[in-house]
Parts: sequence; structure tokens; C-alpha cells
Amino acid sequence: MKLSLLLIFLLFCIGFYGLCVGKTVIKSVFNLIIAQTALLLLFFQLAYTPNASPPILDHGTTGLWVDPYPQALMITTIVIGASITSLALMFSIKIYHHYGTLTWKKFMHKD
Amino acid sequence: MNAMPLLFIFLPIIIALLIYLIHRPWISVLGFLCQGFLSIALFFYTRFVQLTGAHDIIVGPWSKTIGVGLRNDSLSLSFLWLTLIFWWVLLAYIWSYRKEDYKFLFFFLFLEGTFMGLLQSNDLFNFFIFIDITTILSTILIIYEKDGFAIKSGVYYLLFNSVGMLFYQLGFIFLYSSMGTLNMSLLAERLALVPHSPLIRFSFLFFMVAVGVKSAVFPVYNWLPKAHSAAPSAISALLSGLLVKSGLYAFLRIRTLFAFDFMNEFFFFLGLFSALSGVAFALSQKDLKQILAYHTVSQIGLIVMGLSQPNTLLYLGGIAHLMNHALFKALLFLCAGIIIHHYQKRRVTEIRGVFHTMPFISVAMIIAMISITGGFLTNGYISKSLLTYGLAEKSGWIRLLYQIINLGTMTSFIKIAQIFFGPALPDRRQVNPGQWIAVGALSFACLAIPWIYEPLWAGFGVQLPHISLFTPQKFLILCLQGALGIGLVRWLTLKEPKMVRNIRHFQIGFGVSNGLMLFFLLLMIAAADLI
Repeated sequence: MKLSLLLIFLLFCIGFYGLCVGKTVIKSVFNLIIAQTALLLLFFQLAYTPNASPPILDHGTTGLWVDPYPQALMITTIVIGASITSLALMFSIKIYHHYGTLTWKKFMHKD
Repeated sequence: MNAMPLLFIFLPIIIALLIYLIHRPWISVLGFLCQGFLSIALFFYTRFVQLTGAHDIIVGPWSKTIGVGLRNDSLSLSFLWLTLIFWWVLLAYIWSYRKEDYKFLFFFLFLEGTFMGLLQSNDLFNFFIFIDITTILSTILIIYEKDGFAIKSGVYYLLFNSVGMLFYQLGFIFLYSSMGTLNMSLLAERLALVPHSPLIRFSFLFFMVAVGVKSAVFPVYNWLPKAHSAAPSAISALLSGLLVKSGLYAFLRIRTLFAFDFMNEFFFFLGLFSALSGVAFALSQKDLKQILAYHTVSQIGLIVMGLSQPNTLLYLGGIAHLMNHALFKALLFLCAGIIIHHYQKRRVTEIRGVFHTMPFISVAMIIAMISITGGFLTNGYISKSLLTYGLAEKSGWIRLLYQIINLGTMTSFIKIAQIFFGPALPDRRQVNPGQWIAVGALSFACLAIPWIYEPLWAGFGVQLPHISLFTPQKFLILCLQGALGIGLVRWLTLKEPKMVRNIRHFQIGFGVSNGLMLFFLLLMIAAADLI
């Protein structure tokens, strides 16, 4: 539990560090996905119950079920994340056609 | 009545889909019909909520802990009315040149549905979903013209706001793992019972980072001037008037949810600094829409300053200024859009002779300018007076800074006022009835609100104190500020100190602004005294 939380924290830090120093739009998008994945893992990890059965009605009656709510929320977050990613990648194509570069510093200073 | 909140979300979306799919000139009229129907429905729904109190529904046969909850109280109803008015005005404004642009109408009406969903949602997760969809749709509308500046501002806006929403996700993950629900009414009950553990406090701070990014406060406002000046004018008005308020709405909701008051002073100073820096940047700009966008930052700062002190006069001033700012900033952007479209120039120093070329638009713009500076007989006067009276208990230098912010606002609008003078253009503008109706309606609202604000606000359950519409002291201060402002404008335009030029070309890159977001979080952790 402790170790996995530490790893998730590291993953988030890698993503956010990449967002702070990433030089191109593509790298920013990738790092955004990495940070988002860390959050998904965090939610699953926090909702995890040891020795519990899956939340399906006729699957067994041990009495202890995994909370299905986080999974339902995270699938929606994944969908939203995918749409943001695809939109940002589409924009990066447009930016490349327009400015000939994807480096933030270069195209932000051009008119 | 139970299905009413769903109607406000899904009717605009269905109409948007119909317009996009059927693709015939006559179908666009459905947009107006939808607006009319929604207005009637909202009128009866408001009466219903006023009679029965806050209206709570759960979509589907689920329990309150996990179901999708929608809730309407007087705050969300006032925002719903504002949304509806905005879409009426903007539909009239864009009608003449967008009525056969089905793609634009699709995104435009879809945005109305999702924004209404955002306002009604009673569930932190749905709130997140609606904020994200609103961000995506408004990005598409920002880059709609597909010129270079719009695309790079659009991608900056999209990515930076998504990074901000990462913190929102962290916030609700922490909150769910400690409280076991995301329904706001249940959370408010449960949070009042338990002692606030570090996990809960951290989740509050993470929410506040996301809210700060969405509402563009001090260190993280860099996306706003880019996005708001790059969008088509109608969309700029929408973004600056209404969509940026989604962050402030979240600020109000989440702060009432947690009921923490140890951060009040911090938010007060945060608002003060964003107001000051917004004005400082606005003074150095030359682009008409950039100036207006930076003034949005400074006005948001004033609103945050007001909203940070619950149960005071300052809070009422903040709420009133929130609504009034929506009206006059939209009016400013719509007028600026008409002027820029006609002149094909964006620089304040190059546009001349607007008053003789388009007298009606000029009068409307002057009304909005008086309103934003807090001049007499306009709606800005009411809310700025409330803020001034609220600040009376604060120390002297805060009041001085507030007056300096006002002076800065005055100065940069005197700078904009240069565009009215000079000879008329040879080609007069063709009359465009839709745009005239939109501009006229907004200026009428700006002028009418000072006379009817008390019953208007009482309808939404807020008792505003009576403000005398004319005091000699205020008049003196405004005259003094005006005179100082004229002097400052002459100095700024004739001499143009090197510092002004440096501020104008000051750019913050995407990576650095993410670093600033982290800095903002650390600042709040330090202010909350958590470690």
C-alpha cells in the first residue's frame, strides 16, 4: 500500500515536472496523460479493499465488495481525457502547418 | 417540475444536434424558439423554487450518495437567468453572419446546455465533467476562425486548464476516500460533523488551485488575455462575461461546502494583487481587445476580494459586481468587435473617428466605459459603491490601493476613449439590426439596473442596502481620478517609459506558468499553515 502510493506520487511528479519543463506541445500533451494516469491509479488504490469480491450481484456472497463507484467515475475521466488529448493533438497539427514548429517558445513569439 | 433541471441541460443540446443534422436555412430559427421556450420554463421554475425553497433531484433510481444530483437554489437560478440573457443577446448579435453556419450554431447551443448543467450540478464529479466539456467547447469556439493567433491561444487555454483540472481531480479523490460521497448536500452535512483532517484540508487546497486557474487569479491568469483576445468578438464577450464566472461559481460553492474561514484574508489579498497586476498589464497594452481582457483579470480580482469575506457588505458587493461585470464587459467586447470589424485594425493608437462613423455604438461603448469605472447612473456604480462601503472597515492602505486600482481602470479607459475623436471614415457602416438589438439591450440593462436593483436582487433572496445615486464626495473623487487619468495617459503615450514597453512584451511560457501553478499551491499551503 505504502509502496504503491509512493510510486503513484513519483509518477505524478514525473508528469508534472514534464509539464513544467516540456519544450513542445506534444511533450506537454504526453506529460498531461502521465499525470492523469497517476491520478487514476491513485483513486483505484485508495478504493482497493483486500480480499473483496468484484461488485457483481451474482458473483458470490462473501459480504465484502469492492466499491464500484471509483471505477465508474474514472471511466468517465478517461473519456474526457481522451477527447482533450485528441483535440490538443489536432491543434498541434494546425500549429505545425501554420508556424513550422511545435516548440512553445518559438511559436508563442511569432505573429 | 421534477424534470425541469434536465430540460435546461438537454433542450439546447437536442436543438443543437437538430440544427447540425438537418442543415437547412429555416432550421436555425429553432435556436430562437428554444430560447423562448427556455425563458418561459425558467420563469415558472423560478416561481416554483421561490415558493418551495431549494429544489433537489436525483437522476435515475439511485440513492443520494452515488446518484447524479441536480440542485437549484437562488444563486444558481440567478446564474441561469444570466446565462439565458447572454444567449439571447449573443444569438441576436451573431444572427446576421452566422445563421447558415450550422457548425458554429451547434457548438454555441451545445455550450449553453453544458453551462446550464454546470450551474445546476450538485455533485463534485459532475461539476468536473461539465467544466471540462465547457472548456473543450469554448476552445473549439475560440479557434473557430482558424488564424494562427487563435490556434496558439486555444491550445494554451485548453492544456493549461486541463492541468488545472488535474488538481480538481486530486481534490475529489481525497475527499471521496475520506468522506465516501461526492454529493454536495451530503458532504456539507458530513463535513460539519467531523474534525478537519489534513486530507480534507489538502483536498480543499487542491480544489482552490483548480478554481484559481479557472477564474484567473493572480499567479495563474496568463491564459486569459490570450484566449479572450484571440476569440471571435461574440465569443470573447461570452468568455469574459460568463464562462470565466464558472470558476467564481465553483469558488462560491466549494467554499460554502467546506465552510473554512481560515483562508479569508489570503483570498482577499489574492484578489487585491490580481486586480493590481491586471491593471498594470492593461495600462501597457495597445491592442483594444487585449486591454479589455486584462481588465477582466482586474475586475475578477475585485470580485474575489469581495467574495472572500462571507456575511459582510463586501460579499454582497462581490456578488453584485459579478453580475454587473458580466453585463458591461460583454457590452464592451461586442462594441469593440463591431469597431474592429469595421476598421480592420486592433490598435487603440490607430483607430480614430469612431464617434462620427458609428454614433450609436459609440454611445453604448461610453455607457459601458462609465460603468466599468464606477461612474454615476450605471450598474457598475452600485457594485463599486458597495465594495467601497465594505472596504471602510479595512486599513487605510488597502483603501488607497483600491483607489489606485480605480485610477488605473479610469486611465486605461481614457486611453481607449481616444478612438472616438477624429474625422469620420468615408464609408458609413451598414445598419445591422441584430447587432443593434444586442448592443442596445445590454446598454439598456446597464442604465436600468441602478433604478431597479433592490427589487431585482430581492427576487433572488439578496437584500442589498439602499445606495444614494449621487453623493458629492464620490463625484469629487471621480473628477479627481479623471483629471489624474488624463495626465497619466498623456505621459504614457507621449513619453512611453521603457518599463511600459517591457511589460507589454513580457511573456510567460507554458512550462513557467505550470511552475507558477505549483507556486500558487505552495503559497496556499503556507497560508493555510498546514505543515
